[in-house]
Amino acid sequence: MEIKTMNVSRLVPYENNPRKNDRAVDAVAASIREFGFRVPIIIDKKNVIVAGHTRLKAAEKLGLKTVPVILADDLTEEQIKAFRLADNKVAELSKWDYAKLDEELDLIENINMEDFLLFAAKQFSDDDFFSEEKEEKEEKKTLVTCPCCGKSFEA
Amino acid sequence: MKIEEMKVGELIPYENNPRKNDAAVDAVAASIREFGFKVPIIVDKDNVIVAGHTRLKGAKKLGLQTVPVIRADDLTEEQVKAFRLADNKTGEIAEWDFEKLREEMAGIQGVDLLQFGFDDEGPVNMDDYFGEAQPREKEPKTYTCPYCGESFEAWSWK
Repeated sequence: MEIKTMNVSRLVPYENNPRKNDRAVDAVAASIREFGFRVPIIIDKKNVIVAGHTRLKAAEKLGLKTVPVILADDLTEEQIKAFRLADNKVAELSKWDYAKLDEELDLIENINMEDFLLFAAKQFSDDDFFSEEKEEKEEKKTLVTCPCCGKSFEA
Repeated sequence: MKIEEMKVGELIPYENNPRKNDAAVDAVAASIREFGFKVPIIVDKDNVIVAGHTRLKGAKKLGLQTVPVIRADDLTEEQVKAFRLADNKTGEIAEWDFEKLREEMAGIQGVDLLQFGFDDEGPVNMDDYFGEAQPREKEPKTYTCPYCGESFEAWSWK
């Protein structure tokens, strides 16, 4: 396995890339600017992107001339299609440990983590949202008028 | 930038890795078995993992002896910490185009996509569930008046 450096203009986005990534481009560009281009783009033998569409857009946005690529030329066309999906899907299966994320964020003082859409999780754990929603539901009351005495009350 | 082949035993998981990835290991192992180890693990100068904790677990599960590694030894300790978080976060922002995903899945017959975490019934568009709120319906309920004690039925919103 080797890494090649390739002109950005030679890379071909896959025509039916099933990811909507426009909202991710700025954060990925910020990451490349801050840390460098660390993870090579995976391409097939025709230079079509298998993994790294967002990174290519970000590289273009930053005006990079070249990017590192890894050629996956040992895969069949069907394997390429399947890997393109699998690579995105498996990344969805891990979750944040918010306590540890907060600990890590606390240790970072000189890099603006909001550039990568990372905010301290303290204020935003899922439990908070769900318990708030529950409270709202319980508070929902209706005003009812008694047909006998005509007085109104909340129930 | 170059790739080194490193023994899996030499790689050190970061002690405070803020990702819960056990549920992903089988799918990642299946991907490595099916397609090979395509995306190198990123390590710092001390061989501590910056990106690729799940892939290391997947490689161990498959009994691989070595994995491809890219060394990020020009980053400060703080940058390494920050990149470890940013790399995971920026991967979360993009979303599926479900129509295109269905098309792609339909074009794949010879590879079992279920092993990577895809659902049996095909992609589910969450908008189907969380889209426009359904109109609420009225239903009868029994109330007791706190003033005169009368019990009566009234219609109220569900």
